[in-house]
Amino acid sequence: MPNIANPTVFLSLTRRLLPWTAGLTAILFVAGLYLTFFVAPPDYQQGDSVKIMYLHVPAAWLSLFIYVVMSAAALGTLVWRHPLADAAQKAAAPLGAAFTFVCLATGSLWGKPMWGTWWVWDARLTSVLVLFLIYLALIALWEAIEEPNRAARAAAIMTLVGAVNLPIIKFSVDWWNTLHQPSSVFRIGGPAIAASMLMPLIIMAIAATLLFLTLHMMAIRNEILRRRLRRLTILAAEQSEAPVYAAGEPAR
Amino acid sequence: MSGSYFGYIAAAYGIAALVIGGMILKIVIDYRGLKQALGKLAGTSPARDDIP
Repeated sequence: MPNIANPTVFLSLTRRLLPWTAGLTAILFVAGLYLTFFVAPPDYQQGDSVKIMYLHVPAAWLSLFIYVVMSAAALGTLVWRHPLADAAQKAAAPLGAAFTFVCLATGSLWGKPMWGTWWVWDARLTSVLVLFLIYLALIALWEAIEEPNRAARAAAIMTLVGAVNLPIIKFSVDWWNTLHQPSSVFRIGGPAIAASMLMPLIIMAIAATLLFLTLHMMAIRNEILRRRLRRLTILAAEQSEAPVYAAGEPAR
Repeated sequence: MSGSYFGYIAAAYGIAALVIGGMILKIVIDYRGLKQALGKLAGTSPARDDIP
């Protein structure tokens, strides 16, 4: 088994893997969208507005999944000092923010015709908005601290503190009286959705997860290259100053 | 598809396509910029092969 913790091995492995994951993502999205728009029936109460569910639910699932990935990476940074953990964490934050934004926007567009309002401050919607703000804060933190190791540690601590929001999001519909409906797929007793609607939803969720994995691998590769560029820049600067030191003159 | 919901559905899928397309574009442009910068620096740095 190759040591993927080694950045050079990771770059080589993902270069071969990326065309496959990207291709499979595209195929699954085409199949999922076909089933969504041409096979899945309209809901008996919500009519065709239920088509938004096939986008909203995978985005909601990913907004939580990406944060779990970031929390695992944060542990990797703080506990094991894994060389790729902070790159994985930094690369995942903008993707998490993007999918959470899609979740909020599609939820709002689904809520207006069904609930009669674009937004309500109920527990589920508010806790997901907090998750979106945490993603933005993490991106800002990475940008604010110049030294990568310090930025990684600070972001890791903030990520782990923010993880307390995950169970609040998941169980908000059970703990509080909310306008948002309870879980229909991941629930005790099995999914409450008809198979004709569940199948396109599962395919869209797998496609969205594969899309995240593909983009995450690409973004981690970028982070590795960025660090390589930083090291090379410092090395080039040191080498260009070396003759000045040798001649005994102060560096400027 | 019933007309009364068409606008909401189109807006939802349109926003998702824009956000996902933007993400892909940002990562690809970032990658090209980094490769270009690395290529320029590698040409001036004699120790480029020693750095993982």
